[in-house]
Formats: sequence, C-alpha cells, structure tokens
Amino acid sequence: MMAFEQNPKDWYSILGADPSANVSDLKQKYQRLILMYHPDKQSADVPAGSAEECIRKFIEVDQAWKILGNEETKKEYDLQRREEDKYNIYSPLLFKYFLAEGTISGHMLLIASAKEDPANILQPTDVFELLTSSSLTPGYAALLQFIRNIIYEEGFDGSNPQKKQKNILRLGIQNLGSPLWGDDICCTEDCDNSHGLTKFLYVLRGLLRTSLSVCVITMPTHLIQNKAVIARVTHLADTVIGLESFIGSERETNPLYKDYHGLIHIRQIPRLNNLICDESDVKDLAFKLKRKLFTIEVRELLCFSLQSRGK
Amino acid sequence: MFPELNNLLNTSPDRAEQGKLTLLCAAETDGSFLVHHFLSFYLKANCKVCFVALIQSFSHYNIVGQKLGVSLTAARERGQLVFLEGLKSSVDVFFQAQEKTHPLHFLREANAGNLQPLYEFVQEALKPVDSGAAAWRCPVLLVDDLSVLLSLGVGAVAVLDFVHYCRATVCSELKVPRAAGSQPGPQGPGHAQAYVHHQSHLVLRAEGLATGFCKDVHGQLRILWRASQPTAQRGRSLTFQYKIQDKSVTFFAKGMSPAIL
Repeated sequence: MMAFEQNPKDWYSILGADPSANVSDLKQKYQRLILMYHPDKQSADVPAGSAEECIRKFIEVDQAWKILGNEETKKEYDLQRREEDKYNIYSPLLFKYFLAEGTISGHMLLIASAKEDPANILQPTDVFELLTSSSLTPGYAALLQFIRNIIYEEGFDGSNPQKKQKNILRLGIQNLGSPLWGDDICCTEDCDNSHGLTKFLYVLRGLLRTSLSVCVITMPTHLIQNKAVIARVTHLADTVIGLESFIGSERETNPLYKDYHGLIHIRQIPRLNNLICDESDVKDLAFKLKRKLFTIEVRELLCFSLQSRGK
Repeated sequence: MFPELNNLLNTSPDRAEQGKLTLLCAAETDGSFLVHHFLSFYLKANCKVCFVALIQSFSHYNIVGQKLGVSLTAARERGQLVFLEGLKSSVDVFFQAQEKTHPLHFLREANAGNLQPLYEFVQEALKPVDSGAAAWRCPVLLVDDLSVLLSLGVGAVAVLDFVHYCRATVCSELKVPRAAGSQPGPQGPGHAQAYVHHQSHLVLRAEGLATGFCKDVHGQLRILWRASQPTAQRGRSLTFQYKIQDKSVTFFAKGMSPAIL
C-alpha cells in the first residue's frame, strides 16, 4: 500500500541523496544518518520532543534504506516516481510499442508530432516537422501532403514499384487536436475550425484505404471542449481505445484497483468486410505497468469475490 | 437483405414502395447493417440505385453485399448501380485540382457550404434513360452517411437543403423514390437530425442496449411509421431486439432472445 499514499515520501531526499546516486553512495549516506539518529547515541539531557523527533527520523531513514538498498524495490520505486511526475505517460508508451513492433517487423515508420522532436520518440525513417503553409488548418494540410507524398513515392499505393520488399507503412501521429497543431478545438467550445480535425481524419482515412498503411493516433480527448467532436472523431476511426489512468483519481486509493494502473475501454472495433465485428465477451479490462512490461488483464469482477464469500 | 426485417416492415423486393424517404439512425451502436440491408434490397428489387458511400470503401460494401447475395461489381457493370466512393474521391479532390463540378468539390473550399455539385451528380445518375435497353423499376438514392458531411465542415442548413432537393427530385419529378440516409444520432447537431426525421416517412433507429453489452442481443431496433400510411398505422411504432449474425440478422420481441429463454 506504500505506493498509494496521499503524499508519498521522497526516500531520496530523506537520505539527502540525488535520485541519480548509485547504491554505494546511498549506503554511505544511510550509514552516516543511521548513526546520527540512533537512540543509543543520543545524549541523555536533550528535551523529550527532540528525542522523539530523532526516533522518527531514525525509522524514516531505515525505511528509506530498505527500499533504496534493494535493487528490486529501488527500480520499482524509481518507476513509480516517473509515472507520478508525468500525467500523460501511458498513451505515449502504447504509441512507442506500436512503433517498436513496426521496427521489428521491418516496416517503414512515419512519425508526426507537434510536441516533441520525433527523433526523440524513436529513430524513425521519416520525420514530419510541423511546417506552416488551403482550406484546412495549416498544420493538418501540411501533414496530409507529407503523408501522401511518402505513400506515393515509396509505392505504398501501388503507383510506384516498391523499392524494397513489399511491406506496409506505419504512421504514428501524436497528440492530434492539441493547440500545437494550430487547432483551437481544445480552447473553445464553439469555434470556427471545429471541423478541421474531422476533415483531416476523413482524408487520412481515404489515404489509408487506398494504400498499404496503418495509422495510430493519440489524442488528448480530455482537452477537447466540444464533446460532439469526439463522437465524430470516433465515427471516422476504425478502432477506438480509451485509456483511463488511475493517477490523480480516487480509484488510485481504492483497494479494488490496487493491482492495476488504469482501465482500458474498448470503444469501437472495426467492422470491415463484415456485418459483425470480432467483439470479445469481456469488457472489463485493466492494465498495469511493471518495469517495462505493459500487461492488459481481464479484471476480476467484484461479484465473484462476493459470491465466494457468501459460500 | 434480411427477410426477417422485410417481414417486420411488411415489404418485399417485388413490392418496393415509391416516393418514400427512410431515415436510418443509430445511437450508441453501429447501424451499418441497415444500410447493407437496403442496398441489397433495392438491387434485388431491380431499382436503379445511386449510392453515395462516404464512410466505407467500395470493396467493403461489395464483400458484405456478396454475403447477402448481391454483387455490386456486376450491378455497376450493367448500369444498375452508380457508386460514389467518398473516401477515394476525397483524396483525389484534396490533392489534385479537379474541375468545379466534382461532386465533392466542397472539400477544397475553406467555408464549405455548397453541395450543389453533389446534388447534380445524384440528379444525373438517377435521370431516366429513354433507351429501352434496361428499364429499371425506380430510382433510389442511398447516402451513408449524412453525418460525414457535417464532419467535413458542411453546414447543417446546406445538408438539409441537399436532402430536401434530393427528396423533391427523386420523389416528385421522377415520380418515384425513396432515399435512405443513415445518420448516427448523437453526431450531427440535434436540429439537423430532427428535421430529416420530420421529413421522412419511415424511421429505423438502432440503439444500443440501455443495460449495457450483451453477447446475444446486439441492440434494439425501433421502427416508426410516420406519414403516408393508412391513418390507423400512422405514428405506429414497434421495438424489436436483434442479433447480427454472419449473413443475416435475427429479430425478436423485447426480452425474448432465444439465449435468455
């Protein structure tokens, strides 16, 4: 339960160390502090309050060492630190998995981001940098033109012969719809360009349908003010997945969810060339992140445990 | 074509009614099976069909059509079907300059508001031909779906004008027809849907189950007969639950799913 405390203690600052310090450094600091606060080392004439303070400090330092002194628990703590620092952590992670899968399969990658330098995300084959140059929000129009040129030149639409082995193009677009793209749907509810995003998605859908490519887009839907836009975006996409992170929500402290870091909501599954879609029976999915392993599990239902208790 | 749905609507390909506007809408679920039903229904009824497909590609409709026993490729070759593939055309329009008369020309305009080229395309497609080579029974316009037009920045008024013009042309001038537009419910501004709803003779509304996901019941279909029915039937509405299968859809009364009983 330590990890879910309201104000988690910073074990590094308790030892007076830097998070980048190595274990032997930490050990030195721990040994010095533990001697300083040890109850047997205190002189008898100090006031009662100060003696209690020393004992509290002694326990804290001991706890800090128990966590940071062990390679296993230190790693886990480090990871938690990072997660809690950054709110938007899971969607970039899934985004990277999608791209990493492409690298392994030898697919060509195209990454577009207005937020960070795409080269930081991965070493991509093609990088789109936000340019300013139609009827669409400039950022979107330029991106569409760029994607289309790549698809055409590399022969993913069958117009030019593919240079290498026949393969698919993986597109990754990060934080689409955020103000960094020059779109204002995040800022106001009733804006002039509210269809810029949907128009972009429609033309992109057309491009994808006529070529050998797939695209993953991450979108900060909690920032979009006009909820009707989200419904339209959902309608224009094939697969829609929602990530609900527990960070900052009351579920974080709920023992029911203690094993997980968030919930996965499958909002839409494609119905391509078919009347029905491949829908799973279970909708209750949760994810957890342990070190670098991202796992999605079927969450055990509450009613199960109630039933077994009844027996 | 789903025979069970024909029974519910009391119709069959031999008795395809003329001069009707059917509205298909969907809320919290996917209502595309209705579009496939009507597409195969009118092709089997030997009607001249103009299909404005904005949301999916031709191959998708074709493959599903084959499961329902119609071939869109064959229909297109014999001139029965005029297919506008929105996704493909949008790429052409967007990246290459096309003449102003292209049905989707509005994509290039900053303040898209003019659907006249699209209307002219529909009018041209459904114009009766004098040559007696192939006489189709009646013209039918299918649009899948109208909300895409709204997403593409066309104003609600322009979309309603388009619907109105199509209705006027297909229904009275050519003395025939019926248009089916699928417009997923929550997506367009409410008043646009309300207006089309008001204009239509028959409304089919697919809804997700209020109680959540169920493996054996995919949703419920509300059928509302509006106008041009014998007075006794006017305003009658029926609700059925349905389950979509690989090649057909089964309908049953509310709460009477075979899986539950």
